[in-house]
Amino acid sequence: MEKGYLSLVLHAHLPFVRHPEYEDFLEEDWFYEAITETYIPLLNVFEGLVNDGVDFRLTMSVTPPLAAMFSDELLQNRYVRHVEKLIELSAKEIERTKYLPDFHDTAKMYHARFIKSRYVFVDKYHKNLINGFKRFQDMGKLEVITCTATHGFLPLMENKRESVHAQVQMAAKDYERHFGRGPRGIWLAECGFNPGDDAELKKAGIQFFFVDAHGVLHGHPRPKYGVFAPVYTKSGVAAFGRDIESSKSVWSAEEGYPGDFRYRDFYRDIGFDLDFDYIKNYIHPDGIRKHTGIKYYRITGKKTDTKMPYNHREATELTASHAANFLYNREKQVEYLFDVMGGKKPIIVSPYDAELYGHWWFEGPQWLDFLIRKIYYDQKTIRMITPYEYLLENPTNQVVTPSMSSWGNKGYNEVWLEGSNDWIYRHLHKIAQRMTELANTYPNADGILLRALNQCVREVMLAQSSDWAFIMKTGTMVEYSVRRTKSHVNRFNTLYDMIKSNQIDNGYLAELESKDNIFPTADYKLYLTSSLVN
Amino acid sequence: MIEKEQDLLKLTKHELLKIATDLDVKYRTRMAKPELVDSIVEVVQEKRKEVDPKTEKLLVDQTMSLISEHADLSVTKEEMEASKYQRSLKDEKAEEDEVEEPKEVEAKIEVKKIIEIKPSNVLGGHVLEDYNHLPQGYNDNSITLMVIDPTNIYSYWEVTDWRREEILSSSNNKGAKYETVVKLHDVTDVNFNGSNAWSSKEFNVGIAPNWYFSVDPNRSYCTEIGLKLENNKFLLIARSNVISTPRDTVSDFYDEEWMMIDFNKKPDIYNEMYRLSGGHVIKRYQLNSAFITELGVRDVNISIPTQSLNSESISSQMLEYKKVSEQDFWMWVDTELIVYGQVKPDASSLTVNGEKIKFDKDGRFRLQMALPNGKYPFRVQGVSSDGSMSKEITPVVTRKIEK
Repeated sequence: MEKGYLSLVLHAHLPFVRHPEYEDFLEEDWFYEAITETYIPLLNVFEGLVNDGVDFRLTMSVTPPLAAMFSDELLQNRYVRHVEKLIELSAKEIERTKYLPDFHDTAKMYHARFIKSRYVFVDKYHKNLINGFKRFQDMGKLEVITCTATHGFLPLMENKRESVHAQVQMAAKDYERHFGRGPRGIWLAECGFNPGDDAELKKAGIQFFFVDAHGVLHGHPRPKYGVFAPVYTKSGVAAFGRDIESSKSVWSAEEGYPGDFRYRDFYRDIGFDLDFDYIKNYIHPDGIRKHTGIKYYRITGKKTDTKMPYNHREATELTASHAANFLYNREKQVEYLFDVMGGKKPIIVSPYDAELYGHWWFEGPQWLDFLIRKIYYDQKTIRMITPYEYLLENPTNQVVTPSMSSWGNKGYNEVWLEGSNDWIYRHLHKIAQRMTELANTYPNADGILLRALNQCVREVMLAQSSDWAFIMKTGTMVEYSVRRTKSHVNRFNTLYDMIKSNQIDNGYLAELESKDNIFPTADYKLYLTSSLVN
Repeated sequence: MIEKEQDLLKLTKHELLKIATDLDVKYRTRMAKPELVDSIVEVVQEKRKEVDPKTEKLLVDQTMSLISEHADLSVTKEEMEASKYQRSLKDEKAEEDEVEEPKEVEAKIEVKKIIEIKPSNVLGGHVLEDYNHLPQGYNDNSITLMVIDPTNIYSYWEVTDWRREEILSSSNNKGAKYETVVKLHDVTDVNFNGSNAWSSKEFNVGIAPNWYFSVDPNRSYCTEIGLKLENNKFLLIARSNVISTPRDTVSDFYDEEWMMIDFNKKPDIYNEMYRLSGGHVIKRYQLNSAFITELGVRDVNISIPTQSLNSESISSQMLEYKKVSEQDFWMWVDTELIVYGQVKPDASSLTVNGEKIKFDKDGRFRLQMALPNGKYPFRVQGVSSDGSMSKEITPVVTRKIEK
């Protein structure tokens, strides 16, 4: 009999980036890269485990913007084009590296990966990866959870309750459309929680969510078992706290596995390194160099420009050692906690950004594969579990109100509210307030007014994506995130003026509908004041 | 929440009753104010009863590791998360730690346009180039307060000129000199009415549109904006929402309340109802079971001597690194080789060093490869369409580096 549980949670998210008006749009690459490097490799790991009869449990969020992009035909076809280019480039690379034995095997590895990516994407999942995630959910191995509708950061919309309500309701509704049932759990964007948000979750039928460690630890009253047992909020939704120790072994700059010098380096990419004439057909048509995903070097060391060639087999072997190390530490942790908690089985909740696995830490999916196999075959102390299954087995929990918190730097809201991005909130709050005003003014709209109001919802929500504030703070691709924020605010305000003056321009509205086409089931009534939880 | 007796005494009975209700104090509605305060203090103390020392220690341990973690961990997380959005961090790494003023950011955008999207890329239809300007204001007179962390909050506001004039003339102070002042009130557990705050501070904000304030954890705050006249009279224009800062320590409040939720029951009824309502009709795609497995681990060949790794030996020490001294100059050179030519377009085959090479409809071919040191012959052989004629040319390329 096991002494405790391990709940691995992967948070998969990208902001909604779709630009039909451009043939080639750099920021769409975020999505294509993540498909090749993270989402497909993860699905392949799940497939391998199922084929080998290895039972496992994972929890994974697929955020509504990501789901919208997965199921968007334009982006699906553009991904196929993207991966076909990579297949072509990697074939040339095999040729080019013929006399470079240090790189030749790696070139072949990439070529095989890209061919397989295309096969998995097109032939196996019919261009929509939701089919893949849903498949493993239906098998009972994977619990897919949702996220606030556009990854809106709830603590900073706290003074606009209607926004919180709409972000949660829209998410639940959209999840149902994709997965055929309501979501059991939610990943609050950036783990951002503000007491009171739980009532909105409850109303949307959501049974659990996650908070950072201090959200539970600083909860009120003090939590008896800390983060090693979930707590119920007053409204009866379970909150699971992040375990610090297990997070550290992956995230930490000093101790984290992904920083091992033998793993693949993220920054050195042939898109930047190779001769322009050779690479020009595989970067942006305007000649802007970009990541291709073909990278030949290992991390080698910190602050060194002389990088050593990457050896994929050696790195794969290393993931096995790191998986063993992780498991060993979890076993020790669980044994200790089991004793301290007087025979109650602790739950270790380890959430990570899904894109950490594969995109940033190239070997991450392989590590996960080894870890799950070792848990299954090599030990009896730990059992993998989803939060939902945990609650079925442990329905009685302490009632605690978690404190306001996030998993951002310093644990609160500073990343999304500081000098570089504080200017956005007066606009975001204003359009949210105007949205509620519109909903209250036209509670029974139809025809073009209904369309305009629903498009207003899409613009408000897209403006609320926490990604824009985050990007402004981290200082890369700032222009794009500023543009997106301004565009959505302006589009909303234009529609608002049209609606108020009863002069809705059908051409303008139709263009917005085809461009910002997230959430086909957007419903402006979510913003009615009367829809709020009292 | 206020738990100290001297603080509680300052509250109104109504406010005390609210606290008493939260604490579930018995007979609270029948008590006079002093009794109510005593009962609250009593209940609070009672709840700080003996707890299990083992689990207490657990909590302390977790809090300690939380503190040690924050410095180290989130940096990597942020870098990783940022990598999702990057083309190249290399160029931009230098800027990483800069805290930029908002105005600078705006200015930068004007100057440094990385993505120059040319109109030729546009696919038709008119493109919405609506990302340039935002409204300067919304003709509002309001102030909003937001939490940053336990000890910092942020407030922004908008005040129109006509409102300033209006408020001056309606209070018979037309043309009077004034300063724009923001008042920050500590309104923890009180229903703020403008004068019952625990403490208040004044900030002369001039023409600033927003302000950052340092405050205390686990308290509630409210801001007011208004005009302060020379005679110290304050003319209120707007009052903000009330916010509460999070606590930054473990709660002193021991009160174990437990709840059981039967997750088995409700969802099933829900699901059943949902199914009966025709919910679970989902498209089923045929899924191909054929599957190519990942590149396996075969003949693992470790080319660089590695320390033996076992579970216990990985520690931060092992991952230590030698600091390479900062280089202020660097250069690299590499060579690539292009072999190209043409064969009669109907040729039956073209090989280079025995490998078949594709050529285009004009018979042109081109191979590009990296060229390391060494001597490389390229035996290029073409065979005519009927196989009767062939030709062979072998260029030899030597590459070496001379200092």
